[in-house]
Amino acid sequence: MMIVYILKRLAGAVPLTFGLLTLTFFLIRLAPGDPTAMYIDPNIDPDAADRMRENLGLNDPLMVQYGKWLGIIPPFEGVWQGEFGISFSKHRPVFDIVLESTGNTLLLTGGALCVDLVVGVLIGIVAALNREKKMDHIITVGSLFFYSMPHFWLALMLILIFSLGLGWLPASQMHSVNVDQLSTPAYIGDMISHMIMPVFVLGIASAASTVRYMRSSMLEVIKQDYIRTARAKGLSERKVIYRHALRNALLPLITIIGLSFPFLLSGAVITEVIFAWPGMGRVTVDAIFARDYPLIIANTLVAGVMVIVGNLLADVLYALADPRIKLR
Amino acid sequence: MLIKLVSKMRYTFFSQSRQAARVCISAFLRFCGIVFFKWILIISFVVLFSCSRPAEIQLGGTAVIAVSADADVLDPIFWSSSSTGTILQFTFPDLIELNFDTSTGRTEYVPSLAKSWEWSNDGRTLTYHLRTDAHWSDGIPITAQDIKFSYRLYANPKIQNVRKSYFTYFFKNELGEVDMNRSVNVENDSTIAFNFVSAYDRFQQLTHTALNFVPKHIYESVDPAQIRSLAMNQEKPVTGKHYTIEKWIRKQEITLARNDHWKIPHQAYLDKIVFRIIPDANTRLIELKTGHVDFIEGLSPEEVREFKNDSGIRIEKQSFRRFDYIGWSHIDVEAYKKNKAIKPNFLFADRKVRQALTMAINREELIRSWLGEYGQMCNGPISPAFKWAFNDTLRPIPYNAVRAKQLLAEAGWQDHDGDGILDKDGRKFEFTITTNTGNSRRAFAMQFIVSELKKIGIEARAQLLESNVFNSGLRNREYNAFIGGMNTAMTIDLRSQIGSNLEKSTFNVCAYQNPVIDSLLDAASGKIDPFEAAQVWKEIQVILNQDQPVTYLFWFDNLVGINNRLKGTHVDILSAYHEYYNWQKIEQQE
Repeated sequence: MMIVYILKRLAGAVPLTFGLLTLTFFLIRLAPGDPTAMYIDPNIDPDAADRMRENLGLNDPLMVQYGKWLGIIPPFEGVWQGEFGISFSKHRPVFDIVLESTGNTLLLTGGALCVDLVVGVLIGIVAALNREKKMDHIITVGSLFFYSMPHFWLALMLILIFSLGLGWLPASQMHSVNVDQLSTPAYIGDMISHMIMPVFVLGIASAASTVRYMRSSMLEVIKQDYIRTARAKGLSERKVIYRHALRNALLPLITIIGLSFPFLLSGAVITEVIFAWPGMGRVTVDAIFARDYPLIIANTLVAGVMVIVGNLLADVLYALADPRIKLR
Repeated sequence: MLIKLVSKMRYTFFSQSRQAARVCISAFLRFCGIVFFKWILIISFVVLFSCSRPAEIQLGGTAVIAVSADADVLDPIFWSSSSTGTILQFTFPDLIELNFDTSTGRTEYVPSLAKSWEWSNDGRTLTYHLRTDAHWSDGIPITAQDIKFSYRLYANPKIQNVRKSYFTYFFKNELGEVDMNRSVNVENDSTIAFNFVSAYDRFQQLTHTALNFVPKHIYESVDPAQIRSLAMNQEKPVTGKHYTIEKWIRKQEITLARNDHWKIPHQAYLDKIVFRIIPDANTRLIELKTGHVDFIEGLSPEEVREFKNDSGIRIEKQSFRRFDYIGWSHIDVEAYKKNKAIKPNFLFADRKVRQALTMAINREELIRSWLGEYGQMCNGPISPAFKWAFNDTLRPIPYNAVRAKQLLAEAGWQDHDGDGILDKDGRKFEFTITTNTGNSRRAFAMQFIVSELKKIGIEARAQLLESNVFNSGLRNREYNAFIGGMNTAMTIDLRSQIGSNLEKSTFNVCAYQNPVIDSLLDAASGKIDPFEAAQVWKEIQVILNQDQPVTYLFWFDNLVGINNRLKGTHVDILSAYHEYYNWQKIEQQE
């Protein structure tokens, strides 16, 4: 039953993704700007930009460009044939460029998601158990503070304190110079030291919202009859909280994790730019500024697929975790 | 010894004994000799000791340069971005190199791979004599064959190179393609001759034959149609200059390692140069301060002021290479957009109006407020550094708001309806002035200009557009007024900026057209010796000063922050990285 449901959802996702890519194809071409702007330079022939436009097929009518992109008109090298094209600005296949950044982005966003869940869940529980007490107020103010703080500001403050002031952490990049000469443990240590600040910046704001979700979810669960029953049975408070309340309170978080899934691969633009982290966010932004249409569409595809998979995953996990839910 | 001497002298004077005098003289001479010898020794030692330190060459070390963008391709044939150009400067060989003589303001070519060159009597053949001791990074000797092969690639229509204009004077076949056999003649491995259809500006001839070249033995087996793909994907190309590419991790860093095969004029001193890609300006600055980075260019005057009290960092500047200006469109932008029709712009076509606009903006105050000591008044497109061509008798139009209003009144612009805004034939003097986002200098200038124009009754609305959109609009001549900038080339060629042929003059965004200027440009480009055109360039500046096709604002310095442990840098008008092979890293001074 579950497999049929998943297949049905995946089948429905195909036209959805195709529609999304078509919409992106036309929208990005309607936006002002020029993919050949980089060829407007005193050191480059004045007609170079025009020649590049011709080469890239940008002088064709829009529907002809669309037909070529689909692969239904000559040279029959389009989406239908599995070809997403060559990047206008990097002159390489777009998925080569996307793949290069995927690992780096997963490392960053995966770390941030761990921070989000571990910190968010634990502090959320503490806040719920100390409802209306001093601790709860402190956590509420703290979480709102981190939630409302802009990423760029927090990132710069951390760099100023921990890199410039204390000199404890490197300010940018994934590795130090000459990292190849380090032993494996030192190499890993070097990478972790580079990860700490960007992971914290990305994770802490999400954790702040998770704290709020977790707190309210926990409070909701604590009021339930079965918790009262558990206490009445004489179970220790620890067992009541961690065995009975926490499991049920975590259910709404499954949806949140599912919705966070696209973020895992789409990257975090501002954090990546400030910390010079070579991830998908930077690829996307560079592609947009350069009007690199094939690369923008490839990034949209990745993000779109992740949204669909994330939602599907959340539904499936919810059904697995909660026997009351049945998927049809 | 001194006491002995004095006593002996006394004795001599008082006794007047000949013997004593001899003794005294001998003692004096001995004394002088000893003292002289001692001092010579001490001075020599001090001089030797103090002078030998700076002259000592410290080999080894790594310099880290922070740059904002990654390279797009590590190949001289296909590159287009400035970040790539920087890397190629360190890695791919050239026949000759630019040198700038600050005393005369002349740019000259000096030997690199070519040890000498000469022209034929008719000026149509340029022959280079190459060194025979240069090698590619894989140890294969560099020969004239590599150069001819590279030029064949540059000219190949399948390759779609963006420097086709370099081949204007090369021989062409009946299909209009470059006839390489007639144009380039390899006499032997160390002699190559370029033949041109006619004699022209010799400096341009050198420029057109000085393109970087690639190793023939690597590329010759590849189908020309596939070379672009090969070039785009290779991460460790065989290079031939002071450095070779050791590692390229895309979007992270490019590591250059010394190429021991290249010794022109000598081996590079540093073992490695690492380019770290850090897009955010604040982070680059912090990395310089923390010492993780040794060299960054493009600092703002504000950032430089932060380093005033930092003894570990020095600032070097590249001056008179870049300027900002306000473009006033001479044509009706709507009519031009519709069908490329050339109709005069209602607001700015009148020369008196443009003079008034320049006069209404206090450029000295603008420079003082933002650039401070790192900016100079600009009065035309020819750099003051080119002393031979720069007209230093011209004075920039001074700030005079009262006179500006008078000029506008003479042009028919007065406040007839008393609303504080000038009008003419029922139309108010109001327009939008556009520039790109992400440039704080231009954003500041724009606000300053808007407020200055308001004082004389002109309503200008500021508009900021994303760079790509802004550049696209410039290319299509869509703006009535804008703030733009220019990087001057090291040769003077203003045709693309002020030539009347709008199809060819890509950078004449304002569509300024003046037949006198065109004939002067023709006269300048017809000179075989470019320096003979000095008078023509001076005349052009006089006309531009009168016409004010644009309002030239200021020259702004490219400010480079360098950690003091990196020695031997020489930032000059040519490049921030000029003579990079002299760079040394003095670690013990940290």
